[in-house]
Amino acid sequence: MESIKFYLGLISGKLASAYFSLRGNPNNDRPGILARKFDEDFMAKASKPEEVLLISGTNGKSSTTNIINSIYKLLDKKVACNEAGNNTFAGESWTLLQANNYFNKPIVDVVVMEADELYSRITFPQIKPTNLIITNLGRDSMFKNANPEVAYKSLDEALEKLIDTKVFLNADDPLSCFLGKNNKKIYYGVSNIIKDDANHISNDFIVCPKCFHKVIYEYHNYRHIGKFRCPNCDLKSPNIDYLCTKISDKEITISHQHHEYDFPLISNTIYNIYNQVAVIAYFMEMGYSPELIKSLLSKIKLPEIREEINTVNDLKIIRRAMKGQNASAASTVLKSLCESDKNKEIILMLDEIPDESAIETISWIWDTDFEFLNNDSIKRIIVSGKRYLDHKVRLLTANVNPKILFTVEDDEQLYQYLDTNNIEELYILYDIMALKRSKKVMNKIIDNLKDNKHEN
Amino acid sequence: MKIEILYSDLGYYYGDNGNVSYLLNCLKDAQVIYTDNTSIPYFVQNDDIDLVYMGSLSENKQLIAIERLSKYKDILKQRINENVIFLFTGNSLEILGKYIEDENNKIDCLGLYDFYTKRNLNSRINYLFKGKYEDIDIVGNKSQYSLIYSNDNNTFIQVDKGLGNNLEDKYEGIHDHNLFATYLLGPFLVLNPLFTQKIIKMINPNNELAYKKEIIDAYELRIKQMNNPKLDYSLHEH
Repeated sequence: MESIKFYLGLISGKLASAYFSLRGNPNNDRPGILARKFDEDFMAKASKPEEVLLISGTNGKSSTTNIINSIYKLLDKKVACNEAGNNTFAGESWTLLQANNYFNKPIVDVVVMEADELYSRITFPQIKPTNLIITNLGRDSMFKNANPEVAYKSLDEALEKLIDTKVFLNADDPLSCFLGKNNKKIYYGVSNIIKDDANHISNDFIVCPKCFHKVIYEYHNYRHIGKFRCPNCDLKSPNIDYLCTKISDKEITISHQHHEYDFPLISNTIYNIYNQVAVIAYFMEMGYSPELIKSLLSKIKLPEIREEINTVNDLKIIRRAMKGQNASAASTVLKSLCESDKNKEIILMLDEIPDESAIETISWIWDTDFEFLNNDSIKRIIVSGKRYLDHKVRLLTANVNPKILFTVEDDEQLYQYLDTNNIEELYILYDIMALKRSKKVMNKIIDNLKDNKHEN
Repeated sequence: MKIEILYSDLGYYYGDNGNVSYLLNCLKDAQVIYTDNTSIPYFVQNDDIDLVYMGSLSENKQLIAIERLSKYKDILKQRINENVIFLFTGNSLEILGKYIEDENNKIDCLGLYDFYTKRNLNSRINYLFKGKYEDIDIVGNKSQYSLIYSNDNNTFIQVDKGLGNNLEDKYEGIHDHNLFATYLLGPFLVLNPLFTQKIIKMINPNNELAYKKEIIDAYELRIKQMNNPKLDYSLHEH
């Protein structure tokens, strides 16, 4: 009977998957829901290939997953991957549907799965990964995740049942680096090259988790990510196996076992550098040579969903994802703007709910460091969205000059406030739910700029 | 003017930093005392404090705050009776009650008020909220693992829509002398400028709201949107 339930789930899930693919919606994860409806233990019973990699953590899961998926494809491996980012029960079950044929035999070489950290205590022991990368923990949507300690507890419980899983941990993240007490652990990190001394309105790691005394940082790379120690009880960051020691315009250098290796830089934002170091550590541990990894990384680009750059009339237009409702991710993106002193104009499209169906809560904007926008290189800020008046109050309390601040409810109203004269970089920072809106705005700006040039 | 921010080193969550940030924008001349969890609170040793604020903590850190404050519960009660303004938001409210109970533990709290907390870490409760304190419309949102069950007469906000102390209660929070304790996040002081105005004028009638026009505009728009009869007050995950 158990077996019948499972096969009904597998077959109906695979048929539903084929249906959605034919309808041009191959990443729809409803087949995963269907498979679990027949058998709640579907994920445990589904066969797995030799390598099952999970990528979890608050921020950076999608980028890391997509880079690893792309590299495996370049290696001619057959991969099942939830590259669209569906990372809870449905998406994870959907990925295992793609990994198997109708007889529950693996048809891929590797499963690469972005996996939600909050439900990890339930899902991870079912999936039984061979390897697990944890990017970091930090404050996220309060509605689902509450606070980072809740995700830590879930991951901790999961790993207690997964002692054979090798865990890749960010040694510079004090909120996740102590996970996996009984696991084989590989630590990755970035040395003191960023010299971030920024103040943050909210800090996820102020006191020692063991004795609650204030910790001391040797260095910060961003937010709470850095090397720390507790002066009271001597708890400290672990030693790093794969350490990024240099970042140049085009390369990063990784130190591992007294050797240094150069790799092409995929993105110069510090949070993406951490993701890249995790990717390199993973493939080196899998036995791939640094030379091969180097050549593969040179062919990799960040997924367009996260960042798109266009240049028109010498104006660089950067459309960059900035997760709303997630203060740690949003603050990191805002901080990245201060890393260049070029004249900038910023468009913020951060509301998840675009209409009157609900009222979006704004707690997250008061945990987010909009203070970084109080910067001389930023010449104009335009906020567009339903919560425009709330953003206005927040930006004013962040000491943004009211003369450069324009807030509108509707995207169509924002163009009247654009002024790209003497601007070198125009940023469109958008919530993932505003992806389509942000693309539309970017395309219209590009068209307008091209038209203006044509007229001139 | 002296403002004490209590145990912010334990990490305020859910936008509660916004309460501090906006309050300090309104009270630019205030002397601000940040008390960490290893120090004795200023209000314990001094009676010249105008306002003490404490925000939401993680469940683990909440235990530390209870342990630290237990030593000072008598002086805390005394300061409340002396009309010092205390503002507790989010789950810091729970600390003032008798105990917190979940499936494994029963944690004794300060016992200053006659309520207890039931916590279920497997169920996060998310709601919008609209209610009334005196003649002021109060709005906000709640995101919590707990419900409180109160026999205390010191009620704060009368519920119009959304979640009160628990699924049945028509009141939200505790109000005693100048102590205001609410589960409302928001952040509470930003979303409720008329209440904030009342508080800061209690300290000094000359105090004024920061960015008064902008914050009142945002408040009025929100009230209008929250009066929409079709609005679903239960919040879904983001």
